[in-house]
Amino acid sequence: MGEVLMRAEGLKKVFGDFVANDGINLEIEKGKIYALAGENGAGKSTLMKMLYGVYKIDGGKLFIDGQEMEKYNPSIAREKGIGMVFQDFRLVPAFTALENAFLSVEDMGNYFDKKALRKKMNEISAKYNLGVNPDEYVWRLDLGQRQHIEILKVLLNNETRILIFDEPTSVLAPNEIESFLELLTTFRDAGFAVILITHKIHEIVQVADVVHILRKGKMVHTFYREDGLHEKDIVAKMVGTEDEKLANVQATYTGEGKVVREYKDFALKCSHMTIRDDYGRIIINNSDLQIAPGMIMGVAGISGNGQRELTEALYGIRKIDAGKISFAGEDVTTANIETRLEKGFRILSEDPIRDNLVPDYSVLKHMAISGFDYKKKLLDIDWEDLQRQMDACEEIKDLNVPPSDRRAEKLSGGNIQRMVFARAIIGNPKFLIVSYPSRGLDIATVNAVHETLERLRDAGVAILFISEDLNELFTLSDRLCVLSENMIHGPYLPEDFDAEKIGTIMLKGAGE
Amino acid sequence: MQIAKTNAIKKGVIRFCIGAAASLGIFAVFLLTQKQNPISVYMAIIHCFVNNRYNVGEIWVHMTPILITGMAALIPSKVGLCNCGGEGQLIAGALAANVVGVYCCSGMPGYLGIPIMMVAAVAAGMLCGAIPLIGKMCLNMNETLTTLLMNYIVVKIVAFLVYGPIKDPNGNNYPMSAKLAEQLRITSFTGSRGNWTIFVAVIIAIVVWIVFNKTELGFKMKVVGGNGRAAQFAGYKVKKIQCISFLVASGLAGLAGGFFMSSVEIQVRETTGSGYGFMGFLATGIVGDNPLLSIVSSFMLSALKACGATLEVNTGLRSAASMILMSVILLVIFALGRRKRDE
Repeated sequence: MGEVLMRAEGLKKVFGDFVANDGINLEIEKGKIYALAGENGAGKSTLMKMLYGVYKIDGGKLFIDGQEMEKYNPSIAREKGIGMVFQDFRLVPAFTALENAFLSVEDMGNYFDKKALRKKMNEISAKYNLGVNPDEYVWRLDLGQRQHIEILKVLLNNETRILIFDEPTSVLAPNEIESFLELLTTFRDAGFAVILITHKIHEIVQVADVVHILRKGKMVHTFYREDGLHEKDIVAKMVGTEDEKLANVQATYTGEGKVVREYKDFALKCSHMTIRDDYGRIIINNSDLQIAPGMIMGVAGISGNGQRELTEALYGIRKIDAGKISFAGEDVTTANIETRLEKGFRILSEDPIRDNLVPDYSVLKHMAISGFDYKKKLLDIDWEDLQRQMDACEEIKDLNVPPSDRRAEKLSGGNIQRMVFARAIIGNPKFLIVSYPSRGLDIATVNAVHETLERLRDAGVAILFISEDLNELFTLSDRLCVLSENMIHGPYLPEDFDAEKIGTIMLKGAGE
Repeated sequence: MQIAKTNAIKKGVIRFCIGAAASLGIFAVFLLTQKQNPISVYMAIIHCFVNNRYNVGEIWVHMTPILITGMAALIPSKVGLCNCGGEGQLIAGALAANVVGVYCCSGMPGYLGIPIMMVAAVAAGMLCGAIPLIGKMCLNMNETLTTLLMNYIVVKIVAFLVYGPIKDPNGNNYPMSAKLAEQLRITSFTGSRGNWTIFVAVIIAIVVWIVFNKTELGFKMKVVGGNGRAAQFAGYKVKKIQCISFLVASGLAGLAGGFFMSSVEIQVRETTGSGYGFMGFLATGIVGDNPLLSIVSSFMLSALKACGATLEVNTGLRSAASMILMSVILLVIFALGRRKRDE
């Protein structure tokens, strides 16, 4: 038995009438990895934010080292040794890793002792093999490296004993996940208690010692590694008995019995396309891309190889440097977004919070921004009619979009993803660009997303599908291309390829 | 949802009352340090306006420009721009109204001359707004700074003009322009300088509220202001919406200047209109850019401004004391208006 660091009794959190957490009991011991699993909106993030003091606790008690915490907030939490690695990184891109770390260090005083801090950062970085260079600017780093800085920031606090990770692997490439999980076990063996929020079952099975399952704000089950952890059991508890059928569908995704489709004509044709990134560097050079109606074109590649720039260029947000884009026989190279929307272009961008979320607006209002064709009533939008349309919409039900009166900025990342994805697919898309559609979503919704994409494909939509999950790419794509070395390589038939070959192209390009 | 809304209003009213009480309390401490009895000072403020047509009229005189320039700050802020140039736009409007009134319309009857002067005022306000706007749209210059700087330019232009080109030849060499002809002046209520432009100001505020809360246009404008990228992704013409909003706003500030010239100032001085634009900016800022609450806040600011002189006479306090009270109230309302993080 390890030493109990933190204990919660009957924790409760309400937002207005909405009960986000109720009756949560927890015990966190030294040297163990705890997984908190549950569907989107099950209350995982809320619980974490209570444990870290971001949210006020509305009921129940929290004990740290056996002492009840009556007054509690993040700085007390940090003093008591609780560190949180947030899902959305709190880093200033224009600062170096060192400067960012300084912002979060509390006991250094006002004098910026760069030398001491750099030394400490290098020590910690070396100890846990984080590979952080204190003097590198954050904007130059990919998400995986930024995560390491976040972790390092938490470890800089000498008190830290409990590490909380909120959906840590949702931003990582497949090859990074493995080493991240190893890192977690290193922390455990070093005596930290690790709390991991995730809905990726295989990660839980791989590393967790204790698995708490949350559903609708309540803790419904706890699994222990001693008793054996099985993916099927965990999934069943996560989605509840009535959804077990859906969960089983996930298990049959093997790529067997796949139909190979042949295409005569293409809807989207890009030729000799050159795109620059935000810093004016060429990120995609002189490349071609063709997508047919009824085709899912999967795009593989390590993130940061032009995925975002490619989607933005196709959607019209980013001007292309050279080349031509045509759709359904018409040149759309310079067409504005309004025109593209009329032609049926839709997008789920890689960062819906940055690209789609309007603070203070409800889900219903977001549906009016794009998605539904609303009617007008005098000078205003006919909100009641829009609500009726939304209630009648099958896609919205299938994807479990949160209720229309919820304020969008208060939704969890997964719920925002559902809302924006639902918006992109209603209203007859002809060309759909989806980036990481299953990022941050639970299994039931991931399945619903996959089914929706397949249904749209069968209905003749041209789909550009960007993902880092090779499994997902191989299962859904009719053709694959790879972004690497400033080029779009491909198209390839998934049947002719395996993960290893694609991986090679991702790393080294398709060089002859 | 309806219940939530009335609750929010209740909360707002309670907050407002707490704010008023707190600021009166804080100011009372200041008064005690000045060896004044706070209660008698507060009574004196109320007395200013009881049975005193002139003082009540002064509230309307100040409120018109404060409220309208407030809207000139509020509209751009809703579309993600910052207009700190209400001050300069108002002064430019006042200048244009006077110049056009004196040099073009002096022979015209009022029903023709006044509208022409107002059009000139609006145009001058827009011109004043257009310069920073072009900088923003074409060169990505920070409009907060450029609009702010424009204020000083306008003030200096006015100073240059009143000492030279437009100085009234029959004005005993004072640095002032010629006065507007009688028929070009907006008539006041009897017994005060207050006039009907206050109704126009209130109507403008109400219309702004309706646009932002009850129309599709306002809905789209708030998307642009809330997240420009989201508007861009939805195919909105972001720059067009921003430009039009900004021009309308600066035109409104110009109109406020025209009103002020034609109803109160009559002639251009070096100090014409100074302070109103900034106060309007504050009046909307402290109530979180709510057009209806702006009516209340600009009323309060105007009342405090109006009672300053009387206060000095009746209590011996310097008139600057009313500015201190005003600042205290502003800060307290501002502090209460901030949203709590965990709500």
